[in-house]
Amino acid sequence: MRPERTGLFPLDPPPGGWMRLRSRLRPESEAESRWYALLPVASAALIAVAVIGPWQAHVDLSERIVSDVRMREQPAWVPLASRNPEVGVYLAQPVAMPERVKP
Amino acid sequence: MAIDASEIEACYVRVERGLFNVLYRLLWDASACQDLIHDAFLRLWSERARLHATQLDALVYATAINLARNRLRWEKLRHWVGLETLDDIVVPDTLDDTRAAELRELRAALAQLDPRDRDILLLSEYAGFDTTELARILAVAPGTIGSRKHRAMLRLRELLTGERDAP
Repeated sequence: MRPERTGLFPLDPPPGGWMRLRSRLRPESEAESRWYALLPVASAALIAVAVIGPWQAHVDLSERIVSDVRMREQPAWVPLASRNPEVGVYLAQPVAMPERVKP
Repeated sequence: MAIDASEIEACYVRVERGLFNVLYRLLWDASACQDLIHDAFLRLWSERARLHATQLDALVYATAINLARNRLRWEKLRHWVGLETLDDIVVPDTLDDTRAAELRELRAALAQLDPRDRDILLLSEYAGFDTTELARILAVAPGTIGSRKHRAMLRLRELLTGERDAP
């Protein structure tokens, strides 16, 4: 099987390849190098914000829901007690059942 | 250590034709091949402080082949999700219809080879590396290069000419 009869024959690359590449081979300035060095740190910070932000918001929301539920479950006299200590103390006392009158 | 633009230019002149021919048989688009060669050189240029001129040729080939593999994976994915991909080869204007037909036949045959065998076949055909260098570029054991190349040639011959070696 001869390469020149199988599609393996050598092709010429498009002309002007080196000239085009040479225009892109420029030395980086020091400022550019510093920016490139900062890129990994900046990427890590962005990822952290992208991950931690929604997670923190989720935690805050969960805590708020839990506290709301707790508020709802508390007995009605607790808010009263907080506003009026006397009433609160009174209401907070277990109601004593009247003793049965002995015959 | 460290290479300069003149060494990059010398390397470009040395490897351009061979590398272009290898990449063309993978991507089948001349302008895409040249872009990919440039990308490979630009990657090495950004790492020039840590490179030595003697490593350049093999590194350019290894980098370009890896970029080509990535590109082929993306094209496969794009095709899978229904996006437009290159269905036909982009034949250089200088070729006649017969040559273009040969390239299309070769493309169909190469697609049926094991990708690792295909890479070894193309590199040994165009790059002019010895077995040790080929093994380093393709990250395989040197002992397997010869057998894979032989297997690839037999299979390619069978696909292109219908000839099959007697067992």
